[in-house]
Amino acid sequence: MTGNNLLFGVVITAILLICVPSASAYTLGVFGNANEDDTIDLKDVEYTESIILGLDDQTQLADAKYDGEINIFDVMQIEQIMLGQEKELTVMDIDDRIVTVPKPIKRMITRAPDDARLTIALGAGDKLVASEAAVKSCLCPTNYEAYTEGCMDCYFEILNERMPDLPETSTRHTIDYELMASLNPDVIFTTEDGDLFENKVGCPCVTFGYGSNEYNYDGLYGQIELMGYVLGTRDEADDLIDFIESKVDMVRSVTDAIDESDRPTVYFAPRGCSKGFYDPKEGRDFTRTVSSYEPLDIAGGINVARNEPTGNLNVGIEQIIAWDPDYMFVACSKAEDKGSINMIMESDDLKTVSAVKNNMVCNSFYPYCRGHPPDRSLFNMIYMAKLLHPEEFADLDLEAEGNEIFKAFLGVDGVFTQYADWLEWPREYLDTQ
Amino acid sequence: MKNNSHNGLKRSTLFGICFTVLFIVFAAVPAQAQQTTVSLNTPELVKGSTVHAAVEIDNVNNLDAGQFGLSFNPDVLKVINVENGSIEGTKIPVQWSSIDSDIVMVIFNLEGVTGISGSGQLARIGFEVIGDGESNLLISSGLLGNTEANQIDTDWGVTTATDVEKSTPGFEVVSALIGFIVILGLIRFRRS
Repeated sequence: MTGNNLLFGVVITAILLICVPSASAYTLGVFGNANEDDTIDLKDVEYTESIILGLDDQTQLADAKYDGEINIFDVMQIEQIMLGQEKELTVMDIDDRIVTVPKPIKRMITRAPDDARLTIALGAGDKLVASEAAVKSCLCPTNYEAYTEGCMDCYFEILNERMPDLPETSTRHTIDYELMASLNPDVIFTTEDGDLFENKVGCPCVTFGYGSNEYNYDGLYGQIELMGYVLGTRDEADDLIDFIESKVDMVRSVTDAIDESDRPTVYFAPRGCSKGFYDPKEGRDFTRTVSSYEPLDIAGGINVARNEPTGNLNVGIEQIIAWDPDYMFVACSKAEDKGSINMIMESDDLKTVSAVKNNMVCNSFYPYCRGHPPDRSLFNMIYMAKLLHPEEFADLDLEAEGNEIFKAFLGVDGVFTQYADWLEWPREYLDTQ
Repeated sequence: MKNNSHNGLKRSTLFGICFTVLFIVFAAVPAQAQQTTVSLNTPELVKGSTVHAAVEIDNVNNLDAGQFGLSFNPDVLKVINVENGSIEGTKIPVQWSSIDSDIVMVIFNLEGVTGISGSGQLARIGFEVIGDGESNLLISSGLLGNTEANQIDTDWGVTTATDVEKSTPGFEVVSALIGFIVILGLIRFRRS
């Protein structure tokens, strides 16, 4: 191949790469997203105009006014959405429910802590008039119902110091619909049972989730983007996504270069092992795992359960022995549980496993709290990357990263420092660095 | 005494009626004057010629966007182009497409959010006259929206160039009616 041919090939390839539109893994479920990509912009105006002119196929989301017809008023609604001046907004939530919410949202209630956390992260915490009881221990990690230990500065500071007195409209097992209705919300955010909430409370309810049982970043970005449209905080949503992507990219830029054969295998016990090997009631045991935990993949580990069915899994101890993972990550949410990994280290059944033999059984951050706290999982990704590839991430300041991440979601300084002190094992690890 | 009181009551009643009629008429006249109308103005069709049908608009307020279809007899007319319109000197930028060869769809969407008020043309549709017969020009799917994204109440009543224009009472007629009622009231007032 001559130099000219090579140059021609490079130019053609570059042009092709530029011309291929970047494919997003999620479709923004907002009526007005006529071309069904991940945002609402002038392309949607143009696409809807093309539909009216009979030049393009109709799409469901092109009916921005959601009145069953696609006409110039849908174009105008899209323009209003772009300007943040729409009087109402129709969205398709994670359960494929079509919900019209009034705009602007002034008062809202969240059922799940995850929705409250994202609401605060998007700068709309002032609209939150009530939430589930668990929000008080899940956002700023504290001891449940007592709120006397943990990230107490965060607990008292967040939500303009309203957290301790925030009305609790639900618990894990009960929902006070009457209290919800009395607080006159414009919208309720929840993870399930949207129709039930709408019927009982009498206001629109939007369900959010990851689109699967497993934590994944595309699902998270989709939630943030949709919430940004509903709350009227699109810029904040874009900023938060950019922040998360920057952390993901920081880790990926290193781990993507690591050959598959150099990646350690990992068994992940996301529910910890405080209940032993088996816990038939709650599944909070060592043999509970997941086939996909994207932060672990990004961190450069190979999940030994990756070929198993999706969702939560309970595997036999024999299976774990057969997988023979190089590492074991055992989630830990309380200081008193930090020694649970000793049970694994001292188990006769597991003594042949590489992770046990090489003393690579490690605590990790608990990725659940009545949902999937994205701040904890984002930090877990960085923490796991440093454990799995200590040389490549030698310069990473975990405490600074942790505080930056929690501040991005909660708006409070120093949360991770208090979290590490409270859990004890992170502080012990940090002190060895 | 009783008679005077009765006459006074009649005068008051008559005066009240006159006042009410005047109020209603004067309140109604401006509203009627604000009615937005869209009409079609087409010159004589001569086979082999090119003609432009003007879609005209009167009395529009804060117009921001709109759409309309114009159907026609494809045996007689063939669309060759659609030109931008203009209202009070402001261009109406149109997009158009010919659907199924017998209808041309036109949309426009003004830049910015200030809107346009007044009268003018929404578009000029150029046709080549290719045959004999009825043109069957008909406006359909007409929608106008204002800067608040609300629909503008529009009379799309005149749909073909050859239709007889529907007449509505003009300001002169209304004024004459008002004058007549006022004079009648005054005469009755003096007699009593």
